[in-house]
Amino acid sequence: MTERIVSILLSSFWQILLPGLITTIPLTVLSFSIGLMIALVTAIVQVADIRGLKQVARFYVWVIRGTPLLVQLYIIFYGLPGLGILLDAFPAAVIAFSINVGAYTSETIRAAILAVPAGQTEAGYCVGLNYVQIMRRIVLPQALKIAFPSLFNSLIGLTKDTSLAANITVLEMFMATQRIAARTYEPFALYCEVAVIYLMMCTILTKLQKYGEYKLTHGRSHGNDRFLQKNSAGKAEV
Amino acid sequence: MLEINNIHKSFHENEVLKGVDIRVNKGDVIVILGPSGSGKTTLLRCMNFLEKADCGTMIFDQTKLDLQKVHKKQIHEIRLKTGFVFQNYNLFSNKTALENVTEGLLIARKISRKEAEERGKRALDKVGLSDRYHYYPSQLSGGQQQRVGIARAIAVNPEVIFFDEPTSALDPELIGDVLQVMRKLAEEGTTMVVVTHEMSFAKEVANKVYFMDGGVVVESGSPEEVLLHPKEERTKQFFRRIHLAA
Repeated sequence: MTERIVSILLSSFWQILLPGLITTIPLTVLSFSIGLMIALVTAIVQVADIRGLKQVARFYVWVIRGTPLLVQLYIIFYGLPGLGILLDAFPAAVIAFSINVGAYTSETIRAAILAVPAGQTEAGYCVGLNYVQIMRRIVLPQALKIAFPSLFNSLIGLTKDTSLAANITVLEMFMATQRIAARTYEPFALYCEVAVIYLMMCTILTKLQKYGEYKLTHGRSHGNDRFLQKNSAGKAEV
Repeated sequence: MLEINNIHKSFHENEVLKGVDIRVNKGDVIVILGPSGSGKTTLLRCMNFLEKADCGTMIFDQTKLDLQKVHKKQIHEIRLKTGFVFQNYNLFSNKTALENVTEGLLIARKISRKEAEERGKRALDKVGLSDRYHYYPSQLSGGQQQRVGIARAIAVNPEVIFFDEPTSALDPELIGDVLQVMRKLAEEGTTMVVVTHEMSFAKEVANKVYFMDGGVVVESGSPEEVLLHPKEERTKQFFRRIHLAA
């Protein structure tokens, strides 16, 4: 009995991981990248107080955060064909996830932009920069650093949420597992197996986040710290 | 060179400036004194359009502007010719001391990197930070940060520099360095408008002092006239209180 389960787990491992590598990961990366761009625009439009667009942005965030992701997937894949818009499963999933993650992360980015002291924007104007230059060179680099941990949170969330795409016929890790489970009648072992694979992916992401945070806080000023030490050793504070 | 006439500014119901006139000639070191809430900082911020005045006129380099309907482009042009030093320094935290100073040269004035860095270093040398070019603001003391702030303002060779309580956020022992830098600038003929509570600076460096209270200029004149022989009761009262405190 156990031997059978072990052999099923072993033989299914690659059958689950492979759609993970060729579908789950691309789906996540693509959706998150597009979502991030949507989020950036949505956040800036609100912070910059661009009339008209700001209301559109608020409405978008309100609707997307207020409705279930699964329902959004169904509307785009099963609903839109009724309006004559027919999408393949994968692009439909990318659209749904991008729009969803965009709404959530736009709030993260908006808050991070507001966390950069307004005085720096004023100082930017005073040295002759315009709004776009201040945003691009002063505010956003700092805001993205502030938002980084929270954005990674969303990325980890999205990685697991892509399993919902199984509902709209995307052959990703979870659907691959379902198929094997239906064939072998070992749902417990197989669903645990896919859970472990998700856990592995998220563990890698967590490590990446740690590394990224370290780079963001220490990476740039590293040479400087050495300089500082040398300097304070040799010379009194000015 | 710079003249403001009849400037008014309200925040909601609260009228902060009730018709202020101020005149700045080339080479002037003007100190604006007054109790907190008198409108000094607002006046300074309106002069650089960080606040939009409700009405009033400005003459800058012979160009007359209506402060109520000034164009973005005109604001930008005036900002390119002025410098501003903030109470809380407001350095760009993601940039080194040198990058803070060169930002306005490189990006706003499109000066080549080589020349911008030369000018930036010269400005930092002038404020005594030759050994701090590549430090981030978080690695500098308050006094050093404020001197970077001053370097950032002088690097662009502005026609006038506005100082908004530049020493008010500093520990007492760090104030001296900043004031010394400002003194040096004044001696070199830099045109400065300074909001401060530093009486000795006003007495020794300014050539004109404005005393403000309740949104109007109560009294103005040479430091000797205003500080030592004030005519108005409100001015006398203010200095009595300050001397008592000191």
